[in-house]
Amino acid sequence: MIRVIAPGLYASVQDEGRRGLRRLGIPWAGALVPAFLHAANALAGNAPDAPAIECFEGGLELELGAPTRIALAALGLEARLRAIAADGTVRELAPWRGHRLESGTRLRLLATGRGRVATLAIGGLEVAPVHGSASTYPASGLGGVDGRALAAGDALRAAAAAPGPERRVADASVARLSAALLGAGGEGSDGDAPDAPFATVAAVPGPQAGAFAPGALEALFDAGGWTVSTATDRMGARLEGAPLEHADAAARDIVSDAIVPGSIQVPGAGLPIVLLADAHTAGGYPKIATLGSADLAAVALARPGAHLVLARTDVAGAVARARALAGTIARALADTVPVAPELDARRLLSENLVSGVTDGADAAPPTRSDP
Amino acid sequence: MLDAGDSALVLEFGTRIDPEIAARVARLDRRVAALVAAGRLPGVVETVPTFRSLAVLIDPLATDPATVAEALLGAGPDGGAGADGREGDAAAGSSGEPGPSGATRTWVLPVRYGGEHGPDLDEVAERTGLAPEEVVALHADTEVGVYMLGFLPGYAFLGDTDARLHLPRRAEPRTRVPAGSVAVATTLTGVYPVDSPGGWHPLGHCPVPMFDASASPPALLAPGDRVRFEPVDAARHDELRARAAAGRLDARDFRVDRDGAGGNGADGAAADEARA
Repeated sequence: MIRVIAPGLYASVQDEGRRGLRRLGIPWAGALVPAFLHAANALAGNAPDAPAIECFEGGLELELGAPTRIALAALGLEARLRAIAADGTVRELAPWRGHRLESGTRLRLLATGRGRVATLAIGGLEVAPVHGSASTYPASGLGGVDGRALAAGDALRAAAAAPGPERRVADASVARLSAALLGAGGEGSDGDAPDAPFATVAAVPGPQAGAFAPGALEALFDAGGWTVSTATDRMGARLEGAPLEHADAAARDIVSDAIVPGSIQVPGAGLPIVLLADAHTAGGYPKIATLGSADLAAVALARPGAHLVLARTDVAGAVARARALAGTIARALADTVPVAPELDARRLLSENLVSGVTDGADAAPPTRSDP
Repeated sequence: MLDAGDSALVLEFGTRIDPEIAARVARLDRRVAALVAAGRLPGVVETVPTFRSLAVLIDPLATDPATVAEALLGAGPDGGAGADGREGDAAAGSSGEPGPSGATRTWVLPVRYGGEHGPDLDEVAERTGLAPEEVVALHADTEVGVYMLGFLPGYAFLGDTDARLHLPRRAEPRTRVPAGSVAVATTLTGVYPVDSPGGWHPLGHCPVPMFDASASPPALLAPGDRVRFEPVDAARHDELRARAAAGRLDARDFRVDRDGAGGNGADGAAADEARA
């Protein structure tokens, strides 16, 4: 049993989401960054599409009631996760690798690093699927724990951790994957260059680009970009900048049309909203463009105040980018290596000296096999 | 066909709320379902019919919008009939569109009109120049169809209502409209599945839940369903509401078409008698 001590800003159980019910008004929900879900699960010994815990910023704290294997995936390598063993021994746990933790360990996500979303996978996590998915959709009380986000006091079930060596994704692959998630031209680090955007994301004009005044598309794709608003969550990201102009007053409301993840709708005030996994399935605001599926993660990862540039592409370009990103992710996840035995030996030695606690799984002989 | 990124395409038939447009959307929706069932549209994930269009959601790693569009719009054994699949479905017509299962589902939903449950009934009567009883009769006696669901999970846009009831939305939307409220606006009517802000005019309350997370499917109504409303008195409303709260109300009992699940049939039969 795993007990939630604190959920942090917002933590929810997500898998790949719930398909087939959009016609009934029920969105997919599901992981905002599927690459994190797949990677964290693989490192924790799960199927890639198993449910995991998606966290907005740090603050999540769990207590493990049994030996448990976990893995954290986040943008870059800067996320900070801390394990406090039952005897008080403190260990900092690197992201992008599996860790086997003893019963009684308290796990604290201190920071999600360069992006605002990180995914914590727990080996053998059991969350009952609801209509085909464990993904939490709180607006309808579907999935997760009692249909809602995690709260202090919740208990999660997980199968006992299987023995075996821990693996990690090579640092270079984490870097390549992180850069790919942020799109062409994204720096992903405000420190590198003050003017560099957090990400450059590509969108296809339509389906209602015609509802806007001449020049609105150019303004949307202006190199000056947009600032992510504080009113941003799993439903969507509001963008702040110079308002876009509708063709006329009548064009501000349309007869309802389908929304898809990535739809960029523009309500009457002219500020665009990029709709994400939990957004409604239909709506009455015109959609000037649609973000490519490969670029949804970058929007979800952007913190309020971050700078996003939208680049114009066409359907073929967006499809090509989706396939290229899928290839990059697959290569990164295939590039796992056993946790270096000499590093582990050093750590084990120091831990033995400090606490007498050993991490037996990490000390097992390394084998080369993809997860 | 309208562009909607790499993971969807939108086939649009109009920009108005119009039963003819909805019928064409429904025909294409059935055609896509048949092609998917036959394994001839790989990569199609699901479809979303709306007033104006059919959105086809796809997996861009398995197919792409152009390929799906060509399969639906292009010539060929299945494409010759054009976008709306006019090759025929004798059952299709203004009297109703078959639901996803192929059979048109018809529901008779009980409504307690007026009073605390329908705070706008008197205002609607005043603004339409009708007596409240006439508003109730016109609302209940007009069979409506499900154009689409959206806004909220399980919220079905039903229409068209009788022309004498057509009113714009409230100038000041309410911050909370209780679940079960039956409301009208423009040419449409609907039942709020959960408590929600809302700008339509509530006329009454329906005790049959529109959304039940534990039911399969979780939404009572689906695109293409037909709906009539049946005025019920306070005693019947209270009884149904109590049963719903206790989880002992089988929504299928309110389905009255021949292929209906029937259940114990008691309420469906009663509703049928009441209509007859």
